[in-house]
Amino acid sequence: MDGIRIPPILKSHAGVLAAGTVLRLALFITAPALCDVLQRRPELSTPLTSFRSLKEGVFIYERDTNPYEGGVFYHSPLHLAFFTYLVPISSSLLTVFLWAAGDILGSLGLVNIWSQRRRTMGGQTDRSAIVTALYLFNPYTLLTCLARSTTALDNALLIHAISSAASGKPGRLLSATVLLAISTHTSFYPILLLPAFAIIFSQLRPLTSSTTSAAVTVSGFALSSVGLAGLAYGLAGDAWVAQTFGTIINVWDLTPNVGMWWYFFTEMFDHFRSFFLGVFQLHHLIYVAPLCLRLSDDPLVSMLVMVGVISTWKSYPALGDMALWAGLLSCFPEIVSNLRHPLFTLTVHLYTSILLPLLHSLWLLTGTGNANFFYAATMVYGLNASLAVVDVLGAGLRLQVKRETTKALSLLDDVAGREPDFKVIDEIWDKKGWSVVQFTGQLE
Amino acid sequence: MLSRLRRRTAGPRPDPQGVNFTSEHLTAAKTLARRKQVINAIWVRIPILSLWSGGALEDIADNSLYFRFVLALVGIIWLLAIPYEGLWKRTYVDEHALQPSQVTMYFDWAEVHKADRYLDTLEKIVNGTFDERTAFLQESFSISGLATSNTSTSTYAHIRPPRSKGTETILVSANWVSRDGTPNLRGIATLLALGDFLQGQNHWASDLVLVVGEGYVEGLEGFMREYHNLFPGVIWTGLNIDYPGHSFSHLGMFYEGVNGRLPNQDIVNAASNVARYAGGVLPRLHDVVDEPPAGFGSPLVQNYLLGAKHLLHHFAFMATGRGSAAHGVLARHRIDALTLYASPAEGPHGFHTLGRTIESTLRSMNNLLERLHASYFFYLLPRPDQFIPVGHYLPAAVLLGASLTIGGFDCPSPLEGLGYILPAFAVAAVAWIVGLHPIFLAPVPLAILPRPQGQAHTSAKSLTLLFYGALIPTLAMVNFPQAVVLALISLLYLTLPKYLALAILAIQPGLILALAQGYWGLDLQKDWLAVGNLTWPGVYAVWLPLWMISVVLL
Repeated sequence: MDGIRIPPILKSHAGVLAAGTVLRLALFITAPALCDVLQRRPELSTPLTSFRSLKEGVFIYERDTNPYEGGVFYHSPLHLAFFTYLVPISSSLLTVFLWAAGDILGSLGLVNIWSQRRRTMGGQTDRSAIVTALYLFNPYTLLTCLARSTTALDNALLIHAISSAASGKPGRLLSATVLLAISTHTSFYPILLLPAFAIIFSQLRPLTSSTTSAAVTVSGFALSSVGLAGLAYGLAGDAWVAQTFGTIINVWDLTPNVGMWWYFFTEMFDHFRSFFLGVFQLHHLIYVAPLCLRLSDDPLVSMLVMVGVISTWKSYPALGDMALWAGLLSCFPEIVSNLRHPLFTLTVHLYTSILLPLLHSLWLLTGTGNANFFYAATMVYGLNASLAVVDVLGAGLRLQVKRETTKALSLLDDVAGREPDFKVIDEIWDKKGWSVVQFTGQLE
Repeated sequence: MLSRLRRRTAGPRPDPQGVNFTSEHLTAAKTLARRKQVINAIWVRIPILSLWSGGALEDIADNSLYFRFVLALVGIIWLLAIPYEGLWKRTYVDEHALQPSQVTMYFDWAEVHKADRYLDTLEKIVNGTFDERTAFLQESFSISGLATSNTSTSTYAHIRPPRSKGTETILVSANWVSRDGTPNLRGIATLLALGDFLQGQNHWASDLVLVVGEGYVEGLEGFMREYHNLFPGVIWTGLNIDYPGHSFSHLGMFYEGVNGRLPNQDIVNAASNVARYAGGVLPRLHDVVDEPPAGFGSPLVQNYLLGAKHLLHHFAFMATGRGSAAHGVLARHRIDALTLYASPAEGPHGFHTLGRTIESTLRSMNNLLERLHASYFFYLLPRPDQFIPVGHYLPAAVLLGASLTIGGFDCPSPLEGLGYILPAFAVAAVAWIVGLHPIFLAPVPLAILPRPQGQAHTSAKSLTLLFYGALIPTLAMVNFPQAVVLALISLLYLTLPKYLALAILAIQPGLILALAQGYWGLDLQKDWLAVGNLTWPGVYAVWLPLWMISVVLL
């Protein structure tokens, strides 16, 4: 870097954190009009995560009416209670700090995950500043935060659940399961990560057997979920179940978003609806077992792939979900360096971030387009994200092969108990001109 | 299947000492080697920087197939081919409900006489104050039996036909100043006569609102901003009347709206059809004479030149994002509208033709049961009865964009490159916030912005190519001419050899804008403030950063 002189303080972890916080607070305070516009963007918040609808729900709740009986409020009762009693949603200053803090906490969780990976992967340089910067200055994260979409807060929760699981300490089992339960309670799909959590804790060689720790993880999760459900019942009766989980599963609200669902289920004939609903929902589920089995020696990678699948294919996705996945991905530099087409993926993201608002405005603002325009953009977005998930999975598997082959052929001299640096392995393979291929036959 | 066949003759025996254990290893290795060769062969032929920036001609000879160059070349050839008849189609009215020229018209010489009487008074008050003018207009509308009032810059009247529910409205307007700068007195006289004529007719299904705006667009824009405080009905379609001379020979169709929003093509086609068959006057696009230029021999060349002439007029409006006439401001409110411009001439047409054309066009609009949606919103019109569908012209912009994007795929360090690009955007944003004219940014790239070297240079250049490569095809969906201009600017700035690019970059964008303002009175800033033309913010968000980055990357 010849030309730009970034003060070294800004390149440090603390500097990046401070810069990210200042940027957020500055934009919140100096550009409230921008934040208002962002709150209305369908790409950033869905009816399930929108700040405006949350505000409406709290308003109704404060007047002793159950918002879930009205049929248009889909937030979790936990959000409702939190923004009624703890952080009053009408106070814009408090919410500003809360959302900024959410992103900061999320980035800290990512740094935790990364430093844990570093310990198991061996000899890497310090990347905490870059992991933080990639999360805090990712436009998707920043815009989701400014739109005060609850996606930003859910992301922080899930990151900390994963970071607790990644910590490699049996003592963090409780916090991991409770955080995963809260995360599941607010956005449902994280439940698909439970098997990976169970595998992580079963591999920690605690005092008990692996089956027991898996069972403890699952039951911890179940107990916390029941506890949260009980809490929610106390807060809002039982109408919330159909309104939150019911809507996520049955997709009753068809407001356009960046996902594949809204258009498909708008066009669907009623008598096919339940069939395709099943197909679309099971589509998430079918990945869980194969990923957990195939990547059982590195459950964090299976979690990474699963989060990618969820971010792309959940019933109400927003750009903030992609921000979570991008953030997680930055904790896996050895996978990123093995991707086949990272620049292509980024370029298509650039295209779709122009296309999505543009085609949305052609459809609903100038009236010269129609719903197909916006859906075309969401399809490009979804296809690109799916290809990226495949790419990440492929990179994870290639990495595994490379690492094992390198070890088996003793290509490295000083392995001595430590995992070799991925860059060294990549270099060896590059130099030899080797590639990783999937064989159909058996090795003799 | 093929791979299985291939595997049967897999060559030498496996070597237990090497990595290639089995025959399957060998075939896989062969396949991989072959694939690598193909990819390398393609990759080498995508020039990493640009056609000439390597400098050496032998490089070009070595890699004869320059993808980027070919893409840009095909794009430009496609662009030049757009005026060629082979890409055109005949226009047709798609929405059956419109039924153009299928009604009995009642506008007749009695109405023409009334229009003449209105004109007498209008000529007296044309230089009066707004109060005098609006008083006369309101008095005339009132005498005709219409509800009428005024905003601070316009006078309007409301026709409520007995069978209309009042949920949909057709807007008819005439402004005091014509698009050529002279008073539009006959347009207003036509509007007044029309108000008197339409009041009491019982075959209308929509309300009609008649508006006389001050100035050229200011009055109409002011009226539109207040419309929903005044009326309940939704305006689907609009017609603006511009009749500056004393007679006219052709009716000019001005269709481009603000920010490149075009009305549904059915509006243009229906109005042309009505003018031709009901009004008996030949339609024109804009004010372009629809006759092949003499002296170019072959009709193919003549038609090409004629089409190009029409399209250049269209491009001039669209590329700057201006509406071509006063109806343009209606585009921002999702109204499919058109200006009928009576081309001044010694004859033979006057109030009679214009009135009947307007009546019949309004009757077509009145037939609509839903918003216009059937025909095209994205089109080019090379001749009054020909159009070019989006699929026939969009590839030009996509190819130009792709030629930039492909150049950007060599990006060794995206983060480092970003560090050199973002400052340019930040400087432009600051200039926008403090309201600095672009010309004052001229010293910025040399004085403030860092100049990347080596790997950072490649990365910064690649990111710029990626960003502008993504912007061009997407912009082309909204405003094709603007996208073409941006594509040409990007190609000139980023891919020309160093000294040529230097010469082009020396003409700073602010200078170009100042010259355009001086010579053609093109004031984008005023347009942005008055009617919300987004080209002015676009200059700051897109063009200025591109210019600064290109200077830094030289």
